[in-house]
Formats: sequence, C-alpha cells, structure tokens
Amino acid sequence: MKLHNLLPPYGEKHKVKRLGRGNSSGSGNYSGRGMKGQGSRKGRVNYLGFEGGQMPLYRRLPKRGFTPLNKERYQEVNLCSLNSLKDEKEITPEILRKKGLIKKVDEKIKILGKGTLELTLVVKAHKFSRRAKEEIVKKGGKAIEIVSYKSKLKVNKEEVERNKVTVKESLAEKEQKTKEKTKEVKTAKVTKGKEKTEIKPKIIKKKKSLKSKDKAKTKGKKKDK
Amino acid sequence: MSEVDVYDMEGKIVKKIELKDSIFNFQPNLQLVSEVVNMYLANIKIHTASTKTKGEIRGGGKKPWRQKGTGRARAASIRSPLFRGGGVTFGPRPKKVVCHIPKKKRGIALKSTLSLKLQEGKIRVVEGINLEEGKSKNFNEILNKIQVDNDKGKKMMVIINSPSETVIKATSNLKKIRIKNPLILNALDVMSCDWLILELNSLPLLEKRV
Repeated sequence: MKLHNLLPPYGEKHKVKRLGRGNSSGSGNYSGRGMKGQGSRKGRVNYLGFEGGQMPLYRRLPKRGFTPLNKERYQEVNLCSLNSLKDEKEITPEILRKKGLIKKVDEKIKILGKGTLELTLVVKAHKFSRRAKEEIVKKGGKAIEIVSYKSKLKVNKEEVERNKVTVKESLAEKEQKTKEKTKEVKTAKVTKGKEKTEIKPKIIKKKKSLKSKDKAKTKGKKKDK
Repeated sequence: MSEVDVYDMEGKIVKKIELKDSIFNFQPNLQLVSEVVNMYLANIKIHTASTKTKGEIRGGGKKPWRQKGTGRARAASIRSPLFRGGGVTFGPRPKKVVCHIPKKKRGIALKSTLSLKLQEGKIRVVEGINLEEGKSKNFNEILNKIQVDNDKGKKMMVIINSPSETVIKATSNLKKIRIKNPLILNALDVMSCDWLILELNSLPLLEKRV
C-alpha cells in the first residue's frame, strides 16, 4: 500500500458534466438551457420567491410578528413511546437519549399524554402534561419533576460551603453582641438606678444593633474575597 | 498481539517483542487515511505564484486614442488585459492556505497506516542504531544485514529518538533514507516509505502518543 493506491473518500469526487460536446452526449446543442431569453443567458436571476422582476409577494406584504429570545422550549416525549422501555424501571434523560426518543440530554423534556401507558414507570422529566401525570400515577408509577439549573450557572461546591460558614459565624457574632449589649444596658439600669427614663437605653440598643449588622456584613464579604 | 523480531546491528535476531494491538493491529480506515494524507500534501504547497494586474503593470496612464470617431474599439489604457503586454485577469496570487483535520482523525490515520505496514511485513525493529564512523557505506551495510530490500528507488523511514551525529552524517547523503523522531511521525511519512525501521527505544514514545 503506497500513496498512489489511495482512493478518495466515497462521494468526494464527482464527474463533471461536459456541456455542448455534441448531440450524442445528451447535452449538446442547447447545453441544458432550453431556448432563448433571460433563462438561457449567463447571470440569470433565479431564487425562491422570484417573480420575474415584479415586486415579489414576500416583499409586497408588511413584516409581522417576532420570535421571543427567552422562550422555554421542551423536547416532547409522548406516553405511547414510553411503552418501548420495558427493561427500565426509572426513566431519566440519559436513558431517553440512549433509546433515541430525544436528541439532547442537556435540554428540557416534557412528557405529553398521547396514547396509553401500559407499564408502571418512575419517570423523571422537567415537565409533565396533566394527563400524562395522571396516567403515570394511575399505573402505580411516579412522575418526578427535575428542577433544572442552567449548566453555566453551576456554583462551586466549596464556595457554597464557605459562604455557609461565614453566614453562621456572622449570625453567632450578632447574637453574642446583642446579648452583651442587653447585659450592659441592664447593668447600667441597675447602677444608675431608676432616676433615668427608660426611653434612652432603648434608642441606644437599636443603634448598636444596626452597627453590629453592618460589621457582620463587611466581615462576610472580606472572607469571600 | 502481534509478535515482531528484534534485530541486532549485525542482523541477528536478539529477541521478540509484542506490539500493541491498539496501534499495530488496528482496523485500517483507508478513506480517512487518504483524507489526512491529502491534507498533509496540500499543506506542503506554498502558493507563491504571482501575476500582475492592470493596475500593477508599469505605464498605461495615457488614453491610447480618443473615445469616438476613430472606428476602433474604445480603449482606456495600453495595459488593459486585452492588449499585448497588458495585465492578467484573475491570475494566481500568493495566499495563505492552511488545511486542518482534527487530532483524533489524524491519530486514527496514523494507526491505520502503521497497522497496514505491519500487515505487509514492512516494519523492522532494530536495537540501538549507532555507528562509529559517519560513513554512508556502513549504514548501507546495516540495511543489508537486517534484510531490508535495499534496491534502487526504495525509500526507508528510520525512526530514532535521538540520532547520534555519526548516524546523521552517514544518512545525510542517502536520498532514500529519512530520519524522524517518533513524536512527529505522521500518516504521510508512513505511507510514502517502503520500509519502516523502528529503533526499539522509540516504540514506547510512539505508543504513548497515539
């Protein structure tokens, strides 16, 4: 096997149709262009919707409508097509893809209620039609809805845990501080006696609590960074 | 697994070695091989041919004759493509052409060519290729000893990890021989040679790559 033995991949090369090489070739004389006129010349216009130069229909009528950018689209699977999945007890998007009922695993799936279901199945999908849900439950199965997040917005697990910790800490700090303040206020009350009015310490309490909140927030942010 | 004899520099069979099935016993895909080989051949072309257009040719600023009244065809420049010595319409121009084929495809092509070579029995594994003197005569002798048909017009691809200076000197004047590193070996190299001579050390590198 050497270089000259290699053949081009099937369908790569085509035979060129040789035009105007005698009548016996089948495309002599007129070269497959018919007789006379615009169509027989080079550079003729011929596209879908062309009406010989007159303003075509698709331009005569005004534009109408629009396509929404963030429309929710679902891949549809009907109940009757689920009957072919006898071996599977739990139906997930991966299995549906394997059997060729859907084309993309990542996109959302809706189960529709066409036909009748003969099996008891646990079906996982993003959405169910009312009848589909009823039929699945009637057969003793389950219709579980998948709560889908966009894959791009996947949050790092570590980050989430870190955030949780900081939130807990800040909460604990807040509680401690508030407790201390209340104690202080109480002590102040005790030491300075009943002469002072009860309104003042209340105001102080509120202000201090606000400050502590702010501090907790800032601390949390710093840790995130 | 396919077993292959390992030859000495003297032409003796030292031992036997098993070649990996995933590379040397691969179901060859000839259509893909031709696709990949054509890609390499197309990338060799340099596309530097160049011609001058009407604007680039010197002269021709003056109108040769007036527009009307002469009875001749109207003409604006003596360098028009219709004139002798005029510019060229749609001639070749230098351009950058780079064909690309995915890595996986290239890998499959290399595997299938290697296994084709083994099917034909045109792979020879030699232990430690080295020479004392940088003489092409000595290298030719080695080729004869390891029973490679060393006729005129036969091409050999020698694959060595790091060839010594004497080997490079000995082979530099032999047109039939090309030395290559196993890391840059491709399908075109394997297809274009008659014999593939592998140094024993180069096998693990080749297996790692594909």
